[in-house]
Amino acid sequence: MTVHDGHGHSHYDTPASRRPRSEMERWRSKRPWSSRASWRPTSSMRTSTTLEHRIGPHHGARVVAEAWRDPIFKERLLDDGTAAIAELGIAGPEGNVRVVENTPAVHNLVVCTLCSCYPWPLLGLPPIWYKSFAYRSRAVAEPRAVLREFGVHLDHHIEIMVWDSSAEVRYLVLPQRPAGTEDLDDEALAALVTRDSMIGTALVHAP
Amino acid sequence: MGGMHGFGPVVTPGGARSHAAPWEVRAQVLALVSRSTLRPEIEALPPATYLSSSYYERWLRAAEAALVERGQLTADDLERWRATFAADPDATPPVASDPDRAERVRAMKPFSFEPAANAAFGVDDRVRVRRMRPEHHHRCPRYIRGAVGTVEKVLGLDRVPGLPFSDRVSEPCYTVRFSSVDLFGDAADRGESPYTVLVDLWERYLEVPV
Repeated sequence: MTVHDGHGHSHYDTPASRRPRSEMERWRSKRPWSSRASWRPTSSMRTSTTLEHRIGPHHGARVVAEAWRDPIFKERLLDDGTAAIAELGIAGPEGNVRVVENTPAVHNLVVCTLCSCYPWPLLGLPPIWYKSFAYRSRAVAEPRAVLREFGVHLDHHIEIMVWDSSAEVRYLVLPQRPAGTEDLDDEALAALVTRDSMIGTALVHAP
Repeated sequence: MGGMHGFGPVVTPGGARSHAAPWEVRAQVLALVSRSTLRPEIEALPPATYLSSSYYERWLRAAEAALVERGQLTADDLERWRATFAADPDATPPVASDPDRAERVRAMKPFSFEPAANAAFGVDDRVRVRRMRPEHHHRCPRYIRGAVGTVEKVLGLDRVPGLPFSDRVSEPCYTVRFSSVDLFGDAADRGESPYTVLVDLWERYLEVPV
């Protein structure tokens, strides 16, 4: 949030709208919009269908299951998340990905304190709680208390790493594989992996 | 907003959904197809408006401001349509068709860092976050300013946010690791043992600690 003295103007009269005219003209000339009807509701409806239904945590769950099953893939995933998920056909905006691994000694939690940055191609749209002022303010300041709200109680010896997505990297947590899942196939493994476990506010449990 | 107080619980009824009403997804899509993050416009909302608007209300206000600024819409257009819908909530806006646009959005590539040839800092270097009070859009959280951390990773070059459109400056970005004790003090009395916070920062936000 920027500090901003309000004069009671309408919200069109913001500092952004007071930029010099020449800069606005340069900006417009570089963009292909030529008419006021550039926003097309029909294509927007198709995009919203994609965002709501086609992209979602099932993609991230596939990645996690693959990493659990294949230690060499997991190495590639931890080294270069963007390239590794592209092997599974997953890519897109907000998809520069670093995967951070939970271990018996380390638990990872992901937040965007500045807005709501989130790995869309892997998890779809973020939940309301992820975008909330409460999460943005408290995840970096009291992660254990936030985790307790989600029912996750970590022993004090477990190191917590909170990743604040303040630039272009989008973080995905690789949760620990629960014991007793050795005989599950890829689909069954992926079905155990919840969205919240890939943000860091849940653990994955055996069925 | 890191570290601010007073916002209550994270887990609330209905909070596990991504949105609460269909118009909210349309607001999301509007931002996507406007090919802009809208972050500067959202951050430019007056604090009282920012804090009292829902997440997607902020996007919508920012999208309106951006479209007006770019000349896509005028303030009169918006007022006219508001009056139209206030008089008749079932009125339908004009529809134009651009079937390829959804595909173009889907085909957008993820961001990729160029290698940083002349990075000022390397892994394990200690760095301090500069004290600053920028008026323009930026990506340096308040809660780390003045704190000393350690470079955990050199990410590569990225365009510096918040500069005028004509200023396409790229510089190295880093993942920097901080101890919670250096950010928020010792919180043992509140049941929080020390933990690590990692933040991604442009080079201009950092300096050598003395």
